[in-house]
Amino acid sequence: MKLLQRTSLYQLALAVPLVVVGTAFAFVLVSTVVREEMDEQLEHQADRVSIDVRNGQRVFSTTAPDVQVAVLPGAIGAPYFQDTVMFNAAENEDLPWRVGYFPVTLNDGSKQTVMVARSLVETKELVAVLALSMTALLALITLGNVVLNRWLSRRLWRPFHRSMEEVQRFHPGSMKPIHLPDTAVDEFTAMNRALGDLMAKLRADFTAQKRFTEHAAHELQTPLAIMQGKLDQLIQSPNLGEQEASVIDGLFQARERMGRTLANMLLLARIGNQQFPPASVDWLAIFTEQRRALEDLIAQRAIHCTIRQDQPCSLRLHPLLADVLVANLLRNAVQHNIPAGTVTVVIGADGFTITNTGPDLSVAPAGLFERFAKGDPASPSTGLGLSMVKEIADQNDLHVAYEQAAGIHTLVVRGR
Amino acid sequence: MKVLLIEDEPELRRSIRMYLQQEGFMIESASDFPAAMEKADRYTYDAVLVDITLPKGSGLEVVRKLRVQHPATGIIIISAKDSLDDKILGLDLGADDYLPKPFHLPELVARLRALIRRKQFAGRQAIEWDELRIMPEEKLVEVHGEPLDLTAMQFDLLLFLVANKDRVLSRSAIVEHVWGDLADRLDHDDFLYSHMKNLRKKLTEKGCRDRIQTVYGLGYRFSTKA
Repeated sequence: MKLLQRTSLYQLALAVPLVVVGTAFAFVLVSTVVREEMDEQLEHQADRVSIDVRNGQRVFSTTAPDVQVAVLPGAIGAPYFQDTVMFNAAENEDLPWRVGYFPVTLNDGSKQTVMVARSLVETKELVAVLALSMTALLALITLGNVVLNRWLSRRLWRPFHRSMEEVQRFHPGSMKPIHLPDTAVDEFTAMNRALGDLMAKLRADFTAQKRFTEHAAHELQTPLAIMQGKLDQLIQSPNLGEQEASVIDGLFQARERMGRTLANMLLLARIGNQQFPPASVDWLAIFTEQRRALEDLIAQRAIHCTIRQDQPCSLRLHPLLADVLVANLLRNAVQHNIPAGTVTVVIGADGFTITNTGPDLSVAPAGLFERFAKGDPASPSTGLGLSMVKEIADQNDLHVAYEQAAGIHTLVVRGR
Repeated sequence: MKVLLIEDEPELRRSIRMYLQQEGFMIESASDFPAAMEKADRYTYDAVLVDITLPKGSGLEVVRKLRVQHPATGIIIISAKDSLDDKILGLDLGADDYLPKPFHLPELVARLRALIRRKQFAGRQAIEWDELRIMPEEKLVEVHGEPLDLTAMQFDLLLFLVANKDRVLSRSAIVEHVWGDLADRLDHDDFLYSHMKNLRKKLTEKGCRDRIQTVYGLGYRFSTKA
């Protein structure tokens, strides 16, 4: 749920009881005031009537239909008021009245009671209208408040959303400048400053790590070169026995594997540094060339490898990276295959698909593109091949999708 | 053949120097930038091997100077700094070849021989032993004057063996030379074996002496001796 929806909800949750209580309060208040006013009027009228009563008048007829006056025998101590209902023949229903009873002492000293009654129909209506308008007003104010808040929020939060988009687009390896919007809101300024610092730091760390990898790989190459040189010299020695030969061969293999891992690490670091600007490439030529490099392996495993171009592919990539990408993908497809299996490459306008037969994966597909992920820990591969593919794809806005079903592995490379 | 070796790492310098000397090259070496510049200035070499990262200066500077002063000298950059930029820049400045570290010494020898052949004989020089004649530029091989039909890979293999004649070539060095430095040797051992077998068969069928010897557990050797 959005923050805005949440605030609106809370506002409404508060507004509904407020309106109910407010309306009830207004109703009671207005009713009380109106009643007091009414009682006062009754009192005034009773005062006037009392004069006539003292003078001996007994019957009062009023022209106003909403007023009734009567003189009742009997005495009361103090005036009192009462709500009552009287039947109205014209309307054919009971209607509410306010009745006041007032003591009056006649000139002859006898005590009687004056009753004055006024219809409450009008006032009831008045109160109802008043209460209704109060409610409407309250509701309107609340609603207006909610709407205003939503509008304001949307407006006020705009810099936040823009910062958010910027953060989502952020990639520590990219050199694109960071644009956090200027804002007049202190909180957002503080947030943007913190975000900016964080992103700059991330970038610096990322670069430092890359540089470290590059330096480490670089530094290791010199001792490796020395080792290689010594080994090349050592095997020229005329009196090497079988045992020595096998030890030396082991050294050669280890040296080779180390060299390959280092070369791959270096290449990975350099891809991350975006040292390879994209260009248009002839994918068919690259696939054909890389298949030729794998010819022996393909022949040995009796794999049927076909490359088909439906349309020239428009994906752009640095030629060296295109070589590395295709070499890794083809090599994988051939190596993780079954004897006499197939590898099919289809090149289309917007990408290419590599389909191959092969045993089921021992690692989850998602982990395939991780660095040093290997199906078989004892395999001499560096485990960097597919992570190289991913790195190349990521840095060049390519999308790599992989799936397997019933011994068929499909890898699709498309533009993003 | 006079070769100037510019390399700051003493152990590597020693290995390269010894190996090349055994191949019949005359080696002079320099371990830093000023020494390299001085030697390049004062003497003429058939070839110069230069590392890019040197104490007190850049090997690229040496390449620039050499190219101007001694256009006939072959230049090979040997560098651990195998970034593409350095390679392109080095070749632009006039280096003839670029060999990233770590490399196999037989590879260096093969490249050095090819470079000198190109520079001094315009590649026209044929390599001959008795019945065998190889013309590298034309990619032709003759046995007893008869042309021998080899695949590109077999030719490449033969030339690499010949460039390092009478030396033991490790399978690693051969695989890396033929299939590239990212090739996995274990994957290629069988292929190497069968390519080698076919090459030997083709050569001996034409009446060439079987000069390619298997060195048990290690690799192969092309022998010029009887």
